[in-house]
Amino acid sequence: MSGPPRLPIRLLETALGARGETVVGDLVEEWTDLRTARGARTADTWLWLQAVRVTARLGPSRLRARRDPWPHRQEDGMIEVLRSDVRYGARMLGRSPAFTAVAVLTLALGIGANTAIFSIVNTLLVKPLPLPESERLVMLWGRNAQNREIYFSYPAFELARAIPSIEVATAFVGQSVNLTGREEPIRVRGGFVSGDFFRFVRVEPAIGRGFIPGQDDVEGAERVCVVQHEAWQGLLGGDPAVLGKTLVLNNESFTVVGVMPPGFRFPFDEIEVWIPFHNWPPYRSNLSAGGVASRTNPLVGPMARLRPGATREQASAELATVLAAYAGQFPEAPEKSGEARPLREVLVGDARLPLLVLMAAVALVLLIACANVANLMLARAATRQRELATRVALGAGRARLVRQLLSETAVLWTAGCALGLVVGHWGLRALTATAPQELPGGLVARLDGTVVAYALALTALTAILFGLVPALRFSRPDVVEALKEGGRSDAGSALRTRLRGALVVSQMALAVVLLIGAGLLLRSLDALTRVSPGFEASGLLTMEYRLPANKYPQGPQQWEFHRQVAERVRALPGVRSATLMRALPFSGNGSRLYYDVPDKPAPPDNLPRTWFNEVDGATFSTMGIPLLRGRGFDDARDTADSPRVVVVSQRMADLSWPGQDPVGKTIRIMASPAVTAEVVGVVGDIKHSALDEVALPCVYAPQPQKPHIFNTLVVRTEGDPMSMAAAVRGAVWSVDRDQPVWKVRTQESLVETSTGFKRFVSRLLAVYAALALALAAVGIYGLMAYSVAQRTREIGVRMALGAHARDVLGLMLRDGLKLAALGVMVGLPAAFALTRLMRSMLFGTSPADPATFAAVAALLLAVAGVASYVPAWRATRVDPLAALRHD
Amino acid sequence: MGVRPPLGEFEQVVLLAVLRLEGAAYAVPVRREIEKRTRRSVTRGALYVTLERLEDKGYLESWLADPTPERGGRAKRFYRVRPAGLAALRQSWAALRSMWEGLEPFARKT
Repeated sequence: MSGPPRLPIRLLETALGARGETVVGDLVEEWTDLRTARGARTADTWLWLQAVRVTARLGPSRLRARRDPWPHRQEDGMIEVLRSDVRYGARMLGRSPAFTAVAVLTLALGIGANTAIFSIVNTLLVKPLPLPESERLVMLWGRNAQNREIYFSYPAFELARAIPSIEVATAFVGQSVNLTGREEPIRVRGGFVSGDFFRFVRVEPAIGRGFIPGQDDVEGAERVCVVQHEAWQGLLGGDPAVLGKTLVLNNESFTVVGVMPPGFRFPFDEIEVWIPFHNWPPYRSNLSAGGVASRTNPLVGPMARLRPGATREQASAELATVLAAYAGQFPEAPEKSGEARPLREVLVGDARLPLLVLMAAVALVLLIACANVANLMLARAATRQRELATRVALGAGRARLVRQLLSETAVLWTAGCALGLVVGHWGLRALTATAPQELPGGLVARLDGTVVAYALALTALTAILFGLVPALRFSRPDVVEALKEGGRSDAGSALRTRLRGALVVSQMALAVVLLIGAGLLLRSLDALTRVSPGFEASGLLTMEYRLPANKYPQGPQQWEFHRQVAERVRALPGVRSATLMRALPFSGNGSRLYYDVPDKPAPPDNLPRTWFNEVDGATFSTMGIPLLRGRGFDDARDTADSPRVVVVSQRMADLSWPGQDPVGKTIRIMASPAVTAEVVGVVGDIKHSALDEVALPCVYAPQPQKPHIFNTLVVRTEGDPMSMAAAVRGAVWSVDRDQPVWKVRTQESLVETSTGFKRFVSRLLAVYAALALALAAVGIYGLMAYSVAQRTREIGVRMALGAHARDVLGLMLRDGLKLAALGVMVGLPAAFALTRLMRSMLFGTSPADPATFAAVAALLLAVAGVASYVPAWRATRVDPLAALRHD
Repeated sequence: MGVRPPLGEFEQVVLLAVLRLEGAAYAVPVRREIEKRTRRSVTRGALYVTLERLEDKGYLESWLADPTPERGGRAKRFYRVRPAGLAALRQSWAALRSMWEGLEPFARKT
C-alpha cells in the first residue's frame, strides 16, 4: 500500500508552516478512511482538492489578514505593504473571474506541459544515476580501423583497466542463464562481471558478501553468485538462510554468497543474478578454442569508475595511447584506439535529441500561452486606464502603481504555477502510462524538488517577461486625457494595439515552428510505416532458448537438439512452417563479422564487416525473404561434412561482386575460427534492427555446418501466433524437459516496438503543436474581438456612410489575416533554421520539406481566418444608430 | 469583564461540537459532528480558521497529542472549551432565548 500523494502534502506543509502538521495529519487520516471506502484514485483526487482549498483558506496571508484588520498603516514594514498589494491583486482578479480563470488555465497548461516533460529530462539528463558518485562512471569503447565503436578483447581489456585515470574497471555482459533443478526450467537474466564489480558500483550486498577479486573470479574457483533483492524474494522465497544455498545455472551449481540490498538496480539489462565473468559461456568456449588470450575477438564491454579528479578526456587520451601501442605490437588486434564515455550517455543514447526537441516544443507552448495572457492583460489595462489615472490623481506614486500591477501578475502567475504543477503531475502520469516502453535503466521520472524549482523559475522568468513590460508601460497613464468626460480616447491605445498585434504575430510564428516540427515528424513516421522490413512479419511466433554448453558441448549434439525441436514444432497442428535462426531480425540479437572476398581483397587491418546469421533450410521460405539467385539451404544437403556454403544478401552481392553473378564465388568470414565458403545463392535485403536503416550486407550460413547453443525458433502459424505459444513451448520440452524458452513474442510486435518511441515522440509533439495552434487561435480571436469592440463607432460611421456588410467583413478579416501572414512570414524562416537540428530524427523527409511548410502555412492562415471571422461577422451586425449613440 | 462581542452562528456550532466531544475533539470529529447534526457541509478551511479564532479569543484551548501512524506520524491538535467560551455560549443562548420568548409556536410549526 502506498502512502498519500506527496505533492499536495508538501504544498500544505510549505503554505501552512508550523501549523501544517496537525492539518496535514487530519487530512491524511481522512484520506486513509476515504481510500478504504472509495479507492485510492478518489482519495488522491480528494486530497489534491482539499490541499488547494485549505491552502487558499489558511495560507500565510490569510492568517495575517485575520489578525491584522488594518493592513496598510504608515508604520507597516515592507512585508505588510507587499501583503496588501497581493491581497489587492487577488481582489482585482476576483472581480473579473472569467479573465482570471482563462489566464490561470492557460498558464497552467503551459507550465504543466513543461513540468511533465522536464520531469523526464531531469531524470535522464540531469539527475545523477542511482549509484554512488555516478558521475565518475564511464563505459569504455574500442575503436577499430574504420573508427567504429567495438568491444574489447580480453587482453585489450586487461590493458585498458590498468590506465592511471581508472580507479576500478569491470567487465560486464548481460546474458540469459538457464535456472534448472526446479519444477519448471526458467530463464533468469545473468550479469557476468569481474571480481571488481562491487567496488565499481560501490554498493555491497545487504546479506553476505560480494565477489573477492583473485578468489572468486579466477579459473577453477568455487562457483559463486550474488542475487538481486527481488530475485531473492521471488526465486528463493526470501529465505533468510539463503547463504550457502545453491542455484543450478546453465547446468552448474552456484553457491549464493550474497543478496543485494532492496532498491539496488544496475541500470543495464535488469540483472537478476550476478556471476563471475569467467563463467560466461563465450569466455569459456574461447578458452577451449585457444584461450581468452585471443586478441581478435572483441567480446568484453568494460565499464569503469574514474579516479576522483580524473576526467573522461584524460581517460580517453590514455586509452588511445595504450591501445595504439598495443595495435602496433599486435596488428591483428581490432582495437586501434579507444575512448571513455559517461555511463549516462550510453544509457540515454538516441533518446537525447527527441527529449530536447520535446523540451523546446513545450517551451514554445509556454511562450504562446504567456503571450495570450499578456494580451488579455493589455486588453484589461485599457479598461482600467481610468482607474489607474484616478489613483495617480489621488496621489499614488508610480512605484506604488507598478507594484500593484505587478502584484496582480504575481498572483496570476503563482496560481498558474500551482495549478500547472497539478497539471504536470497528471501529465507525467499520462506520459508514463502511454509511453511504449519504460525509461532506460528502469529509471522512474518523478515530480521532485528539482522539477518544482524548475517550474518556479520558469514561472518567475515568464512573469517578469510578460508581466513587467505592461506594468511599466501602464503605470504612467495620461491623467488628464484618461479622466476627461467619457474617457473614451483611451490614452496609449495606438501603442497598445501595436504591442498586442506584435504578440499575436509572435504567437503565430511560434505556432508555425511547432507545427512544422510536428508535421515533419508525422511525415517521417508515415514514410517509416510504409517501409517493408524485407520479410513477411505478420503471422510469426518467435521464442528464444540457450542450451547449457556443458550438457550439449559438441556441435553435432547441439544441431541434433535444434533439428528435433524444429521437426516436432512442424508436426503441430496449426503450424504452417517452422525455422531456426540464430539472430531474429529486430530482436537486438545479431553478430557482425569481418570478411574478405578473394576477388576484391582489402588490407587485413581494414576489412569490411557484414551481418552474419546462421539459419536452417526453412528460413527464407518461412520468413518470406525472396530467393533472387541460386539456391537456398537444404538441411539434408548442407551438413557438417559437406563443403561450406553461404547465401548472401543483395546488398552484399552488390558490394562484393558488382555486375557479376556471386553464385560460385568464394568468401572468407573471420569467425573464430575463420571459414572459407562458397556462395550458393542470393536473397533479398532485410532490415535488421530498424525500419529506417539503410540496406546492410548480410551473410547467411547453414546451421548444420555451424551450430550454436543459442537459437531462435520462428513459427508461421495458421491463426493468431500467440495462441500457439503453449503448444510450441511444449514441443521444446518434449525434447528436453529442462530447457527453458523465453521471449515468446510475435515478429510483428518486434517490428512495431522498433518504431514505438518515434511514434510516441511524434504524437506527443503533434499534441503540443495542436495546443499551440489552439492557443494562437484564441490569441488572434481575442485581439480581433477586442478590436471590433473598440472600433464600434468607426464601423457605425462607415455603415452610416453606406459601407456594405461585406466591406466591413473584409476590412476586419483583412486585419486578422495580415497579422497571421506576418506570423507565417516570421515563422517559416525560423522553422527552416530550427528543423535542421532534428535532421537525425527524420526519415524519408527533408528538414525543409516544401509540402509540410506549405501545408502548415495554409493551415495557420485558415485557422486565423476562422478565428477572425467570428468577430468580423459580429462587426457587420453593428447597428449604425446605436454605434453613433455609443457613450 | 465587560460585554463580549456576540458569537457568530458558526462559532457557536463549533464550540458546541467541541463541548459534545468531551476531550476527543480535534478537527476531524468536530467536523463530522457538525455535519451529522446540522446536516450542512462544513469546509475544512473554514473550520480551521474558526478554531484558531476561538482560541485567539480565549474561548478554546488546545494541545498536541502524540503522533499516530494512520496520520503518517503527525500529531493531533485537541481542543477543549475554556470557561470564557462557556460563558460566551451561555450569553448567546440567553440572548436567543429572550428573543424567542412568546414566539415558541413558530419554532414548532412546519
